[in-house]
This record gives sequence, C-alpha cells and structure tokens, in this order.
Amino acid sequence: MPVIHASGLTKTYRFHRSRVGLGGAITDLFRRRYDTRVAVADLDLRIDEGEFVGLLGRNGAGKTTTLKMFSGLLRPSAGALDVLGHQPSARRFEYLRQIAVVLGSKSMLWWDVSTRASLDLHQAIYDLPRPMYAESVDQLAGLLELSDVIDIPVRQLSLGQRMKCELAVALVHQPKLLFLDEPTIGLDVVSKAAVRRFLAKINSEYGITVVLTSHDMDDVSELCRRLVLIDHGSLQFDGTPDELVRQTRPRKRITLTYAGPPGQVELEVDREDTQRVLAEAAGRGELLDLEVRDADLDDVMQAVMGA
Amino acid sequence: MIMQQALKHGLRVGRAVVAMALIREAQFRAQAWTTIIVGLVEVVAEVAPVLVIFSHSSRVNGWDAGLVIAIAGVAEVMTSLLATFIAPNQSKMTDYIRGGQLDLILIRPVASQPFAALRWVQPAEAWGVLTGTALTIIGLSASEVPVRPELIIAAVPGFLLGLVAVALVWTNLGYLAFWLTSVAALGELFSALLTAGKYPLAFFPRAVRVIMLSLLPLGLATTIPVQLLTGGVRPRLLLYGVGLVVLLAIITRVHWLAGMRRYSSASS
Amino acid sequence: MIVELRRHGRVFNKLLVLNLSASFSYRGEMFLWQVGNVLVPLISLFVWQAAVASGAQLPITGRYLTAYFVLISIINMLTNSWTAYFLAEEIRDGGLNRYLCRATSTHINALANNVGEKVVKLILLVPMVAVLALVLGDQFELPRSVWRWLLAFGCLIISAFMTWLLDVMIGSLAFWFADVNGFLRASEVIVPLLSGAVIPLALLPQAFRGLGQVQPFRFLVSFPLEVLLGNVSGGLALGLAYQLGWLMIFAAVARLVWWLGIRSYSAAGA
Repeated sequence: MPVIHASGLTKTYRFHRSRVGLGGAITDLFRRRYDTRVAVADLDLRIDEGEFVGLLGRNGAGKTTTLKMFSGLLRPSAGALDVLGHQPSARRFEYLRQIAVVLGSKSMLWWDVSTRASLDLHQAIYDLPRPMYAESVDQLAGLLELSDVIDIPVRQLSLGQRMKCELAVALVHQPKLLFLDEPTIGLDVVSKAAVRRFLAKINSEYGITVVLTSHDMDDVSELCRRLVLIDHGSLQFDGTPDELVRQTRPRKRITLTYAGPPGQVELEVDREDTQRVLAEAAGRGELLDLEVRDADLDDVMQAVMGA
Repeated sequence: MIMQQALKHGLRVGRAVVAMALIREAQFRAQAWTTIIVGLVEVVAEVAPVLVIFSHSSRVNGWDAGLVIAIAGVAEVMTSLLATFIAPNQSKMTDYIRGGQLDLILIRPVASQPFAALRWVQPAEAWGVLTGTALTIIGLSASEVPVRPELIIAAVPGFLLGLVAVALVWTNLGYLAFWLTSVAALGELFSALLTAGKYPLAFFPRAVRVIMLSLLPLGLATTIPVQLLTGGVRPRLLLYGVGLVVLLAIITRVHWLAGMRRYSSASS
Repeated sequence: MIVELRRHGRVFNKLLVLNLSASFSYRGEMFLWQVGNVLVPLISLFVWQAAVASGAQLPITGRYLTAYFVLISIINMLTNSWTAYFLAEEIRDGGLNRYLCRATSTHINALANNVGEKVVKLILLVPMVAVLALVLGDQFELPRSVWRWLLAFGCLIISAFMTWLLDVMIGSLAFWFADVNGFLRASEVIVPLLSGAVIPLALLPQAFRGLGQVQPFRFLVSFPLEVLLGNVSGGLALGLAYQLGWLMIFAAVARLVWWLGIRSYSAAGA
C-alpha cells in the first residue's frame, strides 16, 4: 500500500532578482525584476509503508521543496499528491497527527524549560490519551537514553542531546510517517551514531516510514534502503544504494601494497576484469596488502553532482 | 604620520560601514517607502501633544508653543542621531559580551572601542534629522520670543555637546553588560526616557531638572540649545557642557578598559 | 467543533504554563520595562501639571488627570501586545513551519505568551504603581463601586484581545512584504497617540473630540480607563456598543488577512 503517491508533482516559484550594488538597490525600489523558477518538475514517486527513503541532491535541487510538499507546508503548483490518503496541503488534523517533521535547523523544543514540558505540550497538541502518552515517553526515553536529561532545561543540553530530545518530541504521538531534514547536521560522531541507531530501530521495529534528506553520505548509506536523487527539480535516479553505485561508478577500486617498489598502487578496473587484474598483480612482487572495494556513496555523489 | 594613517584607516572603515548599511537598507522596498512615511507620522506624533497642551493654554511656565515645538524638533534630531549611530550598537552589547562575539571585533585590526560602539549604522533613522530640523525652524519662526540668529554659533556646539553627553551615558549603560547578565532592557528604558527631552526643562520639578542636566543630560541637548538661541541662557554655559563631556569621556574609557580586563580574564 | 475547541484549550493551558515559567527567567528585563512603563506617563503628568499651574483651562479635573496617568501604565501594559513582531519574524524565517506541520496553531502560542508575560509583568508593576499612588495619594481617588471595577475589567479584556488582533493583522503583512519594520514603527507611533496612551482623549481639541470618540484605537486603551474613572465620553452604553462592534470588525479582518496570508505562504513557501 503506498504511503506517498505523487504523480506529475510540480512546484514553480516566482522570485525577485535584485540588481547589483547601491544603484541597483535603488532601482529595485521602483521596478523589480521577477523570474519564475521550477523547483520541482513533473515528479512521479511512490513510497510504500515501512520504507526508509533518502532524498538526495545538491543545494537548491528541489529536495526540500519536495519534502515541504509532502508534509503539507507547500501547495503543489500542479500534479497529484496523496499522502496517507490525504491531500497534505489541507493540513487536516487527521493527517497531521499521522506524520512528524524534524527540521534540523528549526527546533520545537522550548529553550527555557525541560524536554518533559515540551513533551507535555505535544500531548495536548496531538490529543494523546494519558496511558498511550506515558508509554510513548517511556519507550522513547529508553531508546534514546534520555532518562537523565529529560528534566533538564533545554538550554543546558549539548547539541547531540538536544537532537535526541527533538526526535523524542517529534515522535511522541507515534506517527506513521516521519520526514527528516538534515537530522545529524553539526553533531559529533558519537551522537550521529546514536541518532542513526535510533532511526534504524523505529523503522525496522515500529514500521515507521521515513523520508530523509541529508548531505551526510554516511547517514544515507547506513540508513536508506532506497535512494531518490533529484537534480534541477526532476528525478535522476530511483533505486537501492548499490544500484546507484554500480550505475554511476561501475568500476572496482583496487589498492595494492608491495613490499618493494612501486610501494602502493591504486587501480580502477571494470567489474569483469577484476579477477584477471588480481591474478596478474600477485605475480608482480611480494604483496603486503590487497584491498578491493566499490566506490562509496561520497564518490558517487561527487560524480553525480559534478556532472 | 602613524596617527594620520590610523585616522585614514578609521575613516575608510567608517565609510565601508555606512555604505554597507545603505545597501542593506535599500534591499527592502517596503522599508524604504515606509521609512519616509513613518518619519512624517513621527513628526505629527511629536507635535501633537504639544499642540494639544497649547490648545488649552497660550503659555506654560513662560514658554510659548513655537519654542516648545522647536525643542521637540531638536529632540527629534537628537533621538534620530542616537538611533542611527548609538542604539543599534548598544542593543548588541549583551550579545557581544555574553555570546563572545566581542572576540570577532577584537581580532580585527581596528581600534576596538570605537568599532564596537559604531559598527552598526541604521541610516533609515537619520531621516529624523531632516524632519526635526524643519520642525525646529518652523517652531522658532512661529515663536513670539525673538531669536538671535548670530547665536547659532553657540547653539550648535551646545547641541553637539549635549548629544555627545547623552551618547556617552548610553554607551556606559551598554558597558554594564560586562558586569550584568543582560542590559538590553536598560537600553530600552533609556530610549523611553528620551521622550522627556522634547519638553522644556522648566516644565519639570526641580529634582527632575537636576537629573536632566547631569545623569541624563537630555536638557543639555534640547532645552539649552534653544535657550542659547533666544538668549535665555548665557553662552558661558557651554563650559559646563565641555566639562561634563570630558568627565563622561574619561569615565567611558576607564569603564571600557575595566570591562575588557574582566572580559579577557573571564573568557579564557 | 467542540472536540476541537477543547483540544485547543488544553494546548493553550500547557503553553500558558510554559510561557509563565519562561517569562520568570526574564524577570530582570521585565522589571526595567515596567519602570519605563511607569516613568513615561509620569513625564506627561509633570507636563500637564505645569500647564494647569500656568492657568490652562481643562475639561477635566486635575484629580482625574493624575488618576489617569497613574493607572495608564497598568492599562497600557495589560492591553499591550507584542505578537506582530514575533509573528512577522516567524513568517520570515520559516519558524511558522513548526506550527503548520503540527496539529496546532501559532496563534494559540502567541495568546498564551501574551497572557503569561502579563501575569509576570503585573506582579512587578503593581507594587510600583502602588508606591506612586501612595506618593501622590492626596491628589486623586479611585472609584469605590465594585461593579465599576468589574465592568472596566471586562472592557480591558476586550481591549487586550483587540490589540492582539491588530497585531495579527500587522504581523501578517510579512506574508507579502520582506520587511515589516516600517509598519511596526508606524503602528507604534500612531496607536499610542490615538488610543489615549499619550494624551487623555478627553483633552483633544473640541474639533477632534467627536472623531476621537468613534475611532477604533480609543477602545484599545482609553475606554476601559474611562469606564473605571466614570468619565465615558458619549455615554457608557454607546461606548460599549462601539467596542463590541470594533471587536467584531477586528476579528473578521484579522481572520481574513491570516487566511489570505497562509494561502499565499503555502503557494510561495519561505
């Protein structure tokens, strides 16, 4: 059953182009130049229940616009969009209570009070019955290891703790669908790992469908079983991470380390030639180390975006 | 030679600050138009209370409507100059010191005290200088008290001394952020109290008048210049203004140095 | 409908508690604001007293004038709203999204924020006004009738709500304008003048008094104080009718402007 079903989804913006310098700024006062830009063009996409989808693309490619249309913040200019049986931009209560949105840079936590107070607020916002709320908080506090920090004013928390609290607050109403915009931005390695573990768990154990945008390819390669690549507003790729790698960088990378000269050698070879190259390499001298790998997502994204 | 170069450098920095502010200002169409309209509305708001008072009485404590309007005009010039150059920086002092953003100023190769005090300029506010001046001229010509134009030589420096004195007091309030957690509200309180400057000193009880000539030298910036023009006080009073400004300048410098010592020892 | 209202009510309660505790951590700032709130009307009082001492003939007594300027700080604070600025800011930087994608409204938070801060400010302001009243004790008197106080309080709540609605209208302009500071400034200058916060409307020159009586801003500050001090120009019943009428108009316009704004916001995004 599709959770998100978009066909021909399009979003165009009209924006004002400012002129250069002081003189230009003054001219702008009287006459503005407007341009239209297509942020998302004719996007067809179907996401099923339980999927973990990464929405990738460079800055301004249209992924945030897409996410905003999915979550009901933007009304599409054209095309049809159905999310959980609703038209998102109507923002009906029945729809909003089934989704959660975490915007990495916009906090829903109250700065001067504890996370528990923010959780209480969300109980009221989503009209959660007491027992369900209590169970939900227990569960999230356990999963995110929050029991020590949940009663501390948010301003005293570290960035990593704050992000975990943000996730707890976002998920307390047990949504079916979670939208994440750059959830690990600015976090340290340990916090990133904790956030990823948590996201993987809620997806696999609780069946929450997750749509994620991130520039961190480690997030994407660890979490997403499906990638959707958007560039210039249109769909460039839709498939598994492996497929993306094989499609854009099909060649294997081989690193050979010899005891004598030439020392370390790096080779890129076509998949079918790998065996032959390895056999030949062994005959060239004493091998200390040998590594064969696919290109990683970082390389792939550099190749895709650079193109 | 070195002095001269430092001065040139300072002027270049100053010009860049103003140019950036102008460009930023012109970015917002709504603001540029509304600034002009709001400026006119503010003039009306400035004059209305005075006109209402004088609709019930032709003279108050020896002042006629024209001269009071002239003072209101001078006050408008004062508040808009303060709002252009002083307020935007003082309102940031708490952030500078509490948030450690002062570091970003200290690492720049410019004199840090004036740079921190004058880094942000709000040119839109300067519109009040024009309307205030116009108001002063209208008020003076409507007044029945004879104005002696030759005394402009005394009145303008009188105003400038008062203005600098008020600015220095405000700057010191901003520096309190070195010692207190937040001084933003103190600045707001101060700018609210500036409204007292648009009435002649003679309207207030004695104790308030003393405050307005010393701790909060609004009277020095508004009433005194107008009185210098009408011959109400002698130009000798300027000496008091000079004395006050020198005293305040010394206090401001010492206060800054003490604050910097605290800042550098606190933010290790 | 009722279910929805009850849900909003519960959200409001939670937000009120949050706002109250957040406000308490800014009590130092709030104290200083309240000092300004008391001192600025005091400046006006001095000026008017000087006018009276110079023989000005006023349509109201000196005692009324003193009571007006002593109490105006409380009325002014209680009816004041600061939603316009924050709302504009939220629209501009996309903070509004947080509310739009949750099943609640930014307005509930703004209302709770207003009420919460007013409670804290009232605690700080009342002692200051009490001190002022003691100092000026023999120069004015307060009404004795309980009903007068209750009626004035009712009008005050409507005034506060109207001011907030006006703020929603002004803040909503940020949906269409990149910068709304000019509008905010204009309203900060015009509203106090027309609402009686700067000059008692009873002191307006004869020619303007009629206009002063019917214009909406009178009902934001001046009117509850007129009711309390028993000096409603044009009569109490007519005044109440005007206030309710303006309330309806404000509510309708604020709703319309907000609705149009949200429509264009979700068309254009932030």
